[in-house]
Amino acid sequence: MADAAASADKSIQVKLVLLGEAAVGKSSVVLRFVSNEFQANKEPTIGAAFLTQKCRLEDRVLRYEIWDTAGQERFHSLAPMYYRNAQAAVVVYDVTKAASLDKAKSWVKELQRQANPHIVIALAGNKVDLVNNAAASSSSTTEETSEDEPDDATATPAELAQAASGDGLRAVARDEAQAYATEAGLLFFETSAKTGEGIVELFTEIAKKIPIEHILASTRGGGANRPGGAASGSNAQGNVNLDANNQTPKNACNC
Amino acid sequence: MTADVTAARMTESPEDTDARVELRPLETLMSPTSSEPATDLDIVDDARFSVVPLSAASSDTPDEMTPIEETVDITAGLNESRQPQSEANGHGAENGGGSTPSRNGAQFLLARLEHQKERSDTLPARSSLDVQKDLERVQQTGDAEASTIDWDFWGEVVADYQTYAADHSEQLARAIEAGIPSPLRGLIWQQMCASKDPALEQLYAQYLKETSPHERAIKRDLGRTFPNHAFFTDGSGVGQGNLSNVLKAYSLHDPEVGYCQGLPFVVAVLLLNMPDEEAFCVLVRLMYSYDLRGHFLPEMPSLQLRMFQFDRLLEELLPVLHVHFLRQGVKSSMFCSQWFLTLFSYRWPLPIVYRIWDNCLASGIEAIFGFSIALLLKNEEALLNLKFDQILDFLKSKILDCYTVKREPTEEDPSTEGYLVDEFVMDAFRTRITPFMLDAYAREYADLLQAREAHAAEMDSLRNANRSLTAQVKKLEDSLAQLDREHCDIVKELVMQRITNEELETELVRYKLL
Ligand SMILES: Nc1nc2c(ncn2[C@@H]2O[C@H](COP(=O)(O)OP(=O)(O)O)[C@@H](O)[C@H]2O)c(=O)[nH]1
Ligand SMILES: [Mg+2]
Repeated sequence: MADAAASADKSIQVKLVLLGEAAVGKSSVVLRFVSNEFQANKEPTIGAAFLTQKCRLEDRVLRYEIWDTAGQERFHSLAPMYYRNAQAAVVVYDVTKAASLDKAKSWVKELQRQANPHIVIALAGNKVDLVNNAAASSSSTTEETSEDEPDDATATPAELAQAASGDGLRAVARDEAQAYATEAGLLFFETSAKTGEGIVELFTEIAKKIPIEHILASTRGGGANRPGGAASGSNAQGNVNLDANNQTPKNACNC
Repeated sequence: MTADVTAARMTESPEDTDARVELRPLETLMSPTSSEPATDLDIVDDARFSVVPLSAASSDTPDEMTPIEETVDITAGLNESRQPQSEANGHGAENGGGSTPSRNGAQFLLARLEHQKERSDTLPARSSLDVQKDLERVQQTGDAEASTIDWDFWGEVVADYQTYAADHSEQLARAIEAGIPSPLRGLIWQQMCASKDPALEQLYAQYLKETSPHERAIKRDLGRTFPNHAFFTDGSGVGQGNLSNVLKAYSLHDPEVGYCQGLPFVVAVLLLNMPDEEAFCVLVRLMYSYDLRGHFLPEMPSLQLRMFQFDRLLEELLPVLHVHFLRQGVKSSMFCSQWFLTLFSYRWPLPIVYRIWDNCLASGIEAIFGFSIALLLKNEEALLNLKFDQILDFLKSKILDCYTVKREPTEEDPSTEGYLVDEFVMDAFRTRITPFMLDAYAREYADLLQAREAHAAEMDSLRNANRSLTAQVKKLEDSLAQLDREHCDIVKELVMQRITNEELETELVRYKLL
């Protein structure tokens, strides 16, 4: 159908940006979403990286245009360019590193102040694989979590000590993060780029929450006069597909 | 963004005015606490300040070409500095027009030498005996390439680089253009940046015994730097060990930079060409004397400057592509921050990286502009047919295809791809970028920053004025309330008096009747 909704390739563009402290796993989350793989020794992000991924949601095809930013504080001055026009943001923290949630909160604050007012923000507590089996095999995870450390000279010795001793243990309670997310109006997921847990759900829920009619209206001049029925129709179908997604999460976004 | 803020300010100011006008009678009433005359001045200032961002709208860039608001700001700055810019164009054409690539290269090379001179005067010259030993060492390694090297020429270059470069700049520029022989590369790089410094090497050894607050961050990225290069893949190998040492030492040597992602790629390229203590010395020179340091400092000031210069070069030398990028919303910082921060070593083939570095070390970091512009020029036609995301994808993964050739893998080099590096380097030299243009753009950028700062200061003072006005309004309102209360009391008293009066009168009347 040559609907106003469809661009040249009949997909709806959603601009998404990933933010969060360095090494919390932003790039890994995107890589899991885009190519369903995990590379432990991938080069760190320098500046920012751009990726795309198409997903089917109900009767629509969404095309995520993703900016994966570099997390180190020093790259902060480059970030506004990437979130300025974004319709969605994933703010990532590391469940084994308490300070990373603080950084996530400050990103959320910045987004709410500076970004597009309709932006959909999701909070993702990543590396949950490390705490899921921490009790069973804490020794084997020690090496992995030794990534906690300061990126800039701003870290205090106390933080260093805390990071060193906190290996393999959950540092952010799920309830605490959930409570914060609810209060701030964010979607919330715990994820693991390593195992894939929660990743597809994350992007699916974002897709559902995106005010698609709004995007259509803003990206194509004539899109504003779309029949109002489209919006209510998609809502009715949303529930059906949500169930479908929960059954086969891996297939939800693999166009 | 700036424009937005100002718009908000402008809608606010009439309110201030209203409040003041409304309060005027009260103010005159209560002369003892009346405001200082500053009130009027501030409001006049308000109107004047709003002129600054408004003028941006009158810039000659059509609106539809600036989808990202920040551009407005930049053109505002440019307007003020048209002068040096056109000057630069004149010179650019003059110098670039008739010159051969090598002459252009020599120009940069000499500028670099000038810069280096102060230092070579203060440092003990490296004894030619040392250098001779180094040379012989290389000659005896039996490297396949060693037999093809023009030893006489490079011997002379190595023996006293600074003098040779000053006396035979064009010849040297041509040789560098053709590529430094790889067995000599590390040696020549050190000569080019005059890095040999026994005291610094000693300091390096000292640093290795200390601990750095960045060690964990450094460790995390070790296995992620050139993860596919044999020298760096082994977690307990020499490669990662040296990488870790140099990065740690540098973080101690320069606490302000400390550790920054991107730096390991720079260090890795050095380590592939020289031992770690020498790599450390070259790194220190690159950072301080070539101003690579400004790429890694908080706020990354030199990176911002170089991205600005690059944008201006793009506008000047590739105007059609520049407009296409603007229309598509592609900002050059979206791709060149990665190129510039790592001097192209991030995921680029090393044969190309080395040749770019030859030129950076000979002529300054500014050599990156020639290579960047040449790449875009070579791919201009393809890029003009692409849309936003396709452009970014192309820049990330296909931009070097034009210099890549399929080839038969040989025994010593099993890769199936070769690179037309000579052609790339020649193209970079042909880009007609002159030091003069870059200087002019740097001045523009300084003016822009200054204008931005002034604007921010103005916003600050406006905000302060607004705050004090608000406080004043509050105070006046309080006084008004107080007056109202007093007024009420008086009225009440008056009424009471009247009632009393009436009562008295009735009483009087009653008495009279009696
Ligand atoms: N165990 C575990 N490690 C992860 C996970 N996600 C990322 N990592 C590791 O954390 C480090 C930083 O990941 P990266 O994606 O580069 O983080 P970024 O700086 O936020 O982009 C890498 O060594 C990853 O292998 C995860 O879900 N589980
Ligand atoms: Mg990353």
